[in-house]
Amino acid sequence: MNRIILGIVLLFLLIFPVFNLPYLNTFLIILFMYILLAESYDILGGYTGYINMGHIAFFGIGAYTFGLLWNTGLSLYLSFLAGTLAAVVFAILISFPLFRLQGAYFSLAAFALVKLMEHLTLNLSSITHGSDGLKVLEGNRMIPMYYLSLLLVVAVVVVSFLITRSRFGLAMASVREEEEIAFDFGVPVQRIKTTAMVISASFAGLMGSFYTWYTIFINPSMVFGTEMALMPIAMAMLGGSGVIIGPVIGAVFLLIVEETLWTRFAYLHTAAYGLVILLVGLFMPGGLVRLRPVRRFLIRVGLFKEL
Amino acid sequence: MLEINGIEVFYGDYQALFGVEATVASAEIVSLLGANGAGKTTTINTICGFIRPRAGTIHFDNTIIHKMSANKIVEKGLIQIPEERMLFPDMTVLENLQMGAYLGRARKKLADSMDWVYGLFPILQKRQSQLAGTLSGGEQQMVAIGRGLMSLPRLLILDEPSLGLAPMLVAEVFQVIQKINQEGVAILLVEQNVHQSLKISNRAYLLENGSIAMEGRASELLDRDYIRESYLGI
Amino acid sequence: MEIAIQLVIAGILQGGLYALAAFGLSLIFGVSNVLNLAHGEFLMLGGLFCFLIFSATGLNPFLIGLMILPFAFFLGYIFDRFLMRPLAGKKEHIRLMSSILVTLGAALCIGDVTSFLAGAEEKGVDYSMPSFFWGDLYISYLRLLAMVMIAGLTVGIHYYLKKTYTGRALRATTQNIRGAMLVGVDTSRIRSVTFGIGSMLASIAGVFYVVLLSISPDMGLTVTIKYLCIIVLGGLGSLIGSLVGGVILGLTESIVSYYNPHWGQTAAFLILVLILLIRPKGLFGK
Ligand SMILES: Nc1ncnc2c1ncn2[C@@H]1O[C@H](COP(=O)(O)OP(=O)(O)OP(=O)(O)O)[C@@H](O)[C@H]1O
Ligand SMILES: [Mg+2]
Repeated sequence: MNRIILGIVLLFLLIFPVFNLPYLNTFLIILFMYILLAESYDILGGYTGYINMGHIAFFGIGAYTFGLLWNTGLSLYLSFLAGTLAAVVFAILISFPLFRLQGAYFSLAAFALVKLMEHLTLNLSSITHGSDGLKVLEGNRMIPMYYLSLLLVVAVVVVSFLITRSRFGLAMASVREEEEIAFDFGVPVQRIKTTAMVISASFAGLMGSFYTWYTIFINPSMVFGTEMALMPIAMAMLGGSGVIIGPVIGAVFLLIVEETLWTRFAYLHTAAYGLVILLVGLFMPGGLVRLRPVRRFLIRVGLFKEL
Repeated sequence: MLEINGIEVFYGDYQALFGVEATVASAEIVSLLGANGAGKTTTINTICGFIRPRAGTIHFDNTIIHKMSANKIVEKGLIQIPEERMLFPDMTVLENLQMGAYLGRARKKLADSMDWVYGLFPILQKRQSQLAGTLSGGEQQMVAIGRGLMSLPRLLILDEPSLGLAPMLVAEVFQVIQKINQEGVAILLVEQNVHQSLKISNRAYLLENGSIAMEGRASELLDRDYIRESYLGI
Repeated sequence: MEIAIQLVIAGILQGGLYALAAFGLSLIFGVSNVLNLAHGEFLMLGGLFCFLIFSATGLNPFLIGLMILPFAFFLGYIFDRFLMRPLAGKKEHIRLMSSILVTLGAALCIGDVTSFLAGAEEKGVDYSMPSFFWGDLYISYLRLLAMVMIAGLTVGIHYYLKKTYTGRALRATTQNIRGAMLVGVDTSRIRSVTFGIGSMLASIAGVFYVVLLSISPDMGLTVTIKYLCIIVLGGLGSLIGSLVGGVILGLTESIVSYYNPHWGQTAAFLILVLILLIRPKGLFGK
């Protein structure tokens, strides 16, 4: 059942550009980007319980590294690779100090890093061009970007799925539930957390690279901004953190809500959008997918995999 | 003054208590005995309003308390000294004791109660400006009991007060409990230290796997073969 | 030399201002374990109402600030009562997530509604008081008054927490919530009161903002993040920690900005991250 549904959805998405609907195409690219960010956030946030409010830093670092290197004439693929690697290296570097922290401390310190990155990119203008932003070679890349980001979304979902079925996934869950006990039982807690963060960062870094390539222009607030940082996290929580399909549903839901509000209301769409987030947090703790009817439906079609 | 009628308590799907019945009359010392995991702490946390029973009732002075919030129950004079002590680690001993007299009734008698507590535990007076988090385990237990007394209990519930204390101190704690009782405070004593508890108690209940397996006068229980074999190791 | 002193004074004032708002956030976190992402909105609202009343009456803005305190308290109280209390019984991890969603949603809402009703532009109260020279030092009464008020408030909070029963109950709840219940503290009421106090402190800080700097409806999240960083820097829940954290950040900003205006904020975050690397639980954390 779940294979059939997934197959149909995927097939539809694969042939979608044929219909030549640029507006929807662009919308879907943004959607894929948010799904990827939410889902990759959740590899760390949902499975180990470390709410990484600094996830967007990986995205931004990927975006800037790619842009800067590609502009020096490095080949496209090497630049993508470099963007990803930069995010991974950053993840490894910060994982040591950050994972000495727990709970809210961890989340906030990670967030502070995003702010630091934002300010640094603003101020190191001899390299990054500061608030003027970074431009790369122009070109219409809608169709290739569509497929690349779709591919990446499929990849992150598959990786999440493999994680939930592996010993590694089990170890992550043990960190989330009782870190100290897990440690006492010989789970290599630090390594698990770092690995999770690296996987999570690599997807975000690559997506960041794609993003720069696609939009041609980035500036610090586009990739490190506060709302940009918080939205994927809100999406993951809203959909259902720790369930594979959760962040996907959260991203789809929130983006559709936003799009609808923007086209329907001249004013107060942000307020309405905030209200939706608030109400979900208040009445559906655990997210949309853990609502009883939704959950029952997802279990029936075999899409409710949680760790 | 305390009547527990057939309470059933669950943690999620796991049932911890099966129709527990017990009473404590005023000025009595009653022991609640049982092995690890028998459900003693669960019983008293239910009495104190931290857990809601799924069935059954609890009355204190003929009012229903199993639907009241924990702070309302404290106001009625039903005070628990928990096993984990739950002191305020960054407050001084004095401040911890003062917090015991947080509610109006006790606040008015603060000075008297303070004398009472310092009389029972003279060492606390010497330590009064030390932070509670830096006290030794035994001293912390004294502060915990002292803080409970500051609330002017009418029924004092102690959860394993002798846990982790040296034998000397254990004897002292049992003496203090008797002294408190002599001031007219009813006591519900949860213990694994079966012999000593029975010696100071009027009556006792034996909890096994979440239900009352045996009850009776303390002196009588001390002589029962089952208790002697299983809990006293004689 | 005069410049150095002037910078230090400006930094301390800035830092005191930060500390004031940050401390409210820190109290809230200590009592309820909630990262209140809407804290900056209370600050913005405090500044906004001061601005509106000032525009209408021309009263001394600090006086207005005192007048709106009860309303700020009430606002914080009901915020907790209706938005946070329903989450109280949930599992730790779920609660942290729900509280992020609820406070983030509330922040977006309040910011946007405000900008719709009161206009999106920056607002400042143009209130001046005489200034004087003390030796070679240029001192404005306005800033002096602000400094005195901030110092007074800090001392006031300190005594409130140390000496009053409610203040003590608040600390007790922070240190051991179960213990607080055992002595009869109504911890849900204390939590609401703490939100009220936090909101009061934020709104007073907002008044200082609107007088000394400026406010705008979309500033909320940005300042919240800064305050969250300050309390992490100082150690969550510690008054002295917020004060020191605030002053460190304020001094860094004012001194670095003097040499290069763009680098002030950057340096502040850099210092913050560095301190956290050395002392993961903050300067005064345990
Ligand atoms: N919060 C909880 N969630 C799930 N099960 C619990 C919880 N607290 C206690 N239990 C279970 O309920 C049963 C009774 O526990 P309780 O703490 O009441 O025992 P006890 O008699 O006080 O034991 P001890 O002498 O070790 O303190 C135990 O099997 C325990 O595992
Ligand atoms: Mg127990």
